[in-house]
Amino acid sequence: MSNFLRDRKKIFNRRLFLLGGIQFSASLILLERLYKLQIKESDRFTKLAENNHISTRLLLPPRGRILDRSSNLLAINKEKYRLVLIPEANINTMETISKLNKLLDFTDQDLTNLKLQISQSIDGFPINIKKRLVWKEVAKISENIPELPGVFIEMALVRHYISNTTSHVIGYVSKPSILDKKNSKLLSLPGSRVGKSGVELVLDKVIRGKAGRKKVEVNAHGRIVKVLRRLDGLPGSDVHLTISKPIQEYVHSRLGNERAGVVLLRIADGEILASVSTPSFNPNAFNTELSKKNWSKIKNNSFKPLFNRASMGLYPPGSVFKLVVALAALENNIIDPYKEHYCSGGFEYGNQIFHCWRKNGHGSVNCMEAISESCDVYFYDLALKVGIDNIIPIARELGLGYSYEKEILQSAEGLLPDRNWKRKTFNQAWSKSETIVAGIGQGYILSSPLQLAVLISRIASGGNMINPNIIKLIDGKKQVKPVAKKMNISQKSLSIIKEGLFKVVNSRRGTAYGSRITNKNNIMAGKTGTSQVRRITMSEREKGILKNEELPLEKRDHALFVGYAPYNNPKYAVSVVIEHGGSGSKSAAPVARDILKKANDLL
Amino acid sequence: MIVSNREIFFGFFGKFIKLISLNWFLLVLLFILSSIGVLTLYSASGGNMEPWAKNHIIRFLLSLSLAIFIGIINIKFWFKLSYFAYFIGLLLLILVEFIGLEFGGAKRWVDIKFFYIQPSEIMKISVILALARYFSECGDIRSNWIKTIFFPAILIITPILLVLSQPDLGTALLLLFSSLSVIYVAGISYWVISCGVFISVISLPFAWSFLHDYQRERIYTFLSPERDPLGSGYHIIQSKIAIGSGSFWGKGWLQGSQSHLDFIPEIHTDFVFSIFSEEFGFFGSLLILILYSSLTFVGLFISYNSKDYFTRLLTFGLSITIFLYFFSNIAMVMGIIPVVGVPLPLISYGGSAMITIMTAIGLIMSSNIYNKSIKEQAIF
Repeated sequence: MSNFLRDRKKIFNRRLFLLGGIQFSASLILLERLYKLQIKESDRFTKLAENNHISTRLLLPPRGRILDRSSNLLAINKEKYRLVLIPEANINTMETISKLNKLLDFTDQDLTNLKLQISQSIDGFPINIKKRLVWKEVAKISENIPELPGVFIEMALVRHYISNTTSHVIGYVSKPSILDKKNSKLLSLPGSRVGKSGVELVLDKVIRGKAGRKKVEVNAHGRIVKVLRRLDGLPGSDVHLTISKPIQEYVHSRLGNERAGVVLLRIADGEILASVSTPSFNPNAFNTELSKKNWSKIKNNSFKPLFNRASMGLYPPGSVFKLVVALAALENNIIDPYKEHYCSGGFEYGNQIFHCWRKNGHGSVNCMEAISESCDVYFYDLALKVGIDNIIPIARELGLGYSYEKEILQSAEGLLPDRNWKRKTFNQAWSKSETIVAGIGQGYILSSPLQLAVLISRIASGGNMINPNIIKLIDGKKQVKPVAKKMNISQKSLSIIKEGLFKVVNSRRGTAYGSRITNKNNIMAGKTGTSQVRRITMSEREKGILKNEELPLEKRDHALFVGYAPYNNPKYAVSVVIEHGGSGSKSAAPVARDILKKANDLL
Repeated sequence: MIVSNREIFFGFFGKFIKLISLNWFLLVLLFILSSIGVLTLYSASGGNMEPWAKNHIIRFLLSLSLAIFIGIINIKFWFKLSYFAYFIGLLLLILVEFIGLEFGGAKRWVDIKFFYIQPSEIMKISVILALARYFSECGDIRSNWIKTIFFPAILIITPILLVLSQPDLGTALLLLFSSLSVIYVAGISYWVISCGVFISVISLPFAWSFLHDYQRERIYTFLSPERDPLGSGYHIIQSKIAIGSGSFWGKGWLQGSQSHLDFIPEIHTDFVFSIFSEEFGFFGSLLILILYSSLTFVGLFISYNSKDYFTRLLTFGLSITIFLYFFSNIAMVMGIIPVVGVPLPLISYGGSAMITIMTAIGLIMSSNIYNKSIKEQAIF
């Protein structure tokens, strides 16, 4: 027997112990690693596991509602239901579809579309089956939901505007832009909307609300398995406007197909009761994906429905401006209001003749009569006497040339021209003939319906510097409004003007006599205005001036009227501007009368 | 160890009484481990007996009967069968090359009408059987180099090359390590071992060039799993998170978030330890380590106490095989070694590994009974 055979048991045992030892140490390595993973670093891994399967998702809060002054709804959130199918490996989707077909009656086109979608679907990712379910369908499906595996009804809140008439004030919402999404987590949520104009834009942060949170358990493919916790967000704040919905709607319908801007103010505190611009647009159209066709239809509409005429439309104030000229003259003691001035139908200055609107003249008129009959010659002369340097400050004091509630209404500043402006703009000196034209509110002067409403309300209030405002309550809290200061204009001058305004409507020779309010408790006062769009040439004048009705629409004059009522206790002030409406007395004054009557009835 | 067929036949019937002398400790270990398997598979399917747990019970009962059947048969029968088993294994491996069934880019199975078998699993046992028989019969292996290296090398390398070409690196390495350890304890001289190590080191770069891309990728991934956290490193990272988040007591049965929410692939086969460890924590994992170590150390203990040289080598080799199985699986899911695709025997779902382990245990028990029946080294 060889040495090896004799020793091999010993060798075996020695080596067995060695390998056994290695095995033991290898097991210790496993143990060490287990200890490291499960005890030493277990906190880290626990956190990692949690991050893996627990995810926090933001919940979209409902947008705050927008209401009128008496809590009539203007903008709300409508519940819209959509039917989705989430395919899973263990669901027979085709069977589910055929069951749904029995409930919903798909068209053949729908069915083929659905089948195509299903064939391309990935497990766990929802397929849209039907958008905008009506309530009946929702009920039908909810009833049968246990037999429809993988089918879900998803509810979303969609902004809805009740009325087209407030579109310009409230604005609209649409899908957030990429920049919006960058700035706000909430806006990057699917289905979120952001205000794009008007109140929706300016108060967006208040209306938007705060996002809620939902803790969910997700699996490795990101599919939600279970909702763990739900923290509701804060719904956006409700906003009450000073607008009165019934009046707003009345004005809108009263204007019909005209292109017009109307502002109705409450004289006591400057609250805007109505701010109407026609034509309007449907703000709900912007909420969903607006088709290119629809967008260009709105954009290329020559009537510019998106343009807010009430606060941004600028027009020469025409004869309304005569009030400013008269006040400037009275304040500067340039005239005796009772002294009569003779109107022959024309006013000669140098080699120019400035015509009165009444070809044969008004004869002898005093200041109040000049206002009520809107005599141009009287004011040509007066403007020249007062001078542009005295007129413009009074215009400013009365509220022209200033932008009110600029952010919400984007109101235009208008134009009050003076010597400096002329020099800067045209590099020319101011000429006397420009002062004469300014005397009847033509030439460079531009103002908006909103500004004209301010002007008349400041006069009507007896000198209060009224500031128009449109937000009444936010989240039920009253908005602080600055106390109206007294204007730097004497009561005496104002009462003379007011007498003139009374006569415009209520004296037989007044330009708006036809639109007077006969109710003794609601007597209207006001001033008509007709602002020229074109220049009347000499040759035209010789041939005889064409009447507005004979001109093409775009060349007709703008019709204006500012007024207030009741005369003895002024409550509401209104301004009406109808583009190419002809004369103020014929088309603007009746509208103003009806609005003031309505305001008296409703408020 | 020269026995007649008659004696074996007689032994088979005469020693029904052997049931009592089976190593019951081993059987209890098998039972506990398989029960853990049932629990874990029940959880892996989201709290269902289907599709895995029920089959696992059936497979356990069938393969346990196989183990007991093998155990009560005289080891001399298996001794006689060892070369035959080796050749059958080899034949099947060659068959795989030609008519093998391909799953996931590797040909590992053959269809023999009734069920699929994995010849590489059979080889894990047969190669040990063949080596043990070879060394117990060849006498002084140090007397010449042909005996020392040539025959054993052929016995080992042929199946390994066949397995590698499937390709199945994990099984090839397992075969290599278990065979080498048998050669080592058989008394090969350290001089030869040194030469072998030297040659292996030199040929390592060549071996690298023979690896498949996916195998290299696994090794890269192993070296730094964070390199590609959503690609191939993902599984290991998620598996470590599962195990680590189990903490000491675990998240509780059926409560593992990682496992139940699809973060871990193959939770019922290769990564079954991850789900178990996530749900039963350090405490449970330690229990598994102890159970498996007991299994192998009982094997080593039987080997150490064997009087017969064949059974001594055989039980040693089989114990090492069992050890390599569970070590490589657990080390793999904890990121200690690359992903090699070795299941956790008795717990992972899958028949092949279960049968292999049960056969090994059966042979160990048979050896144990045999050694209790003889006084001294009977043969030689």
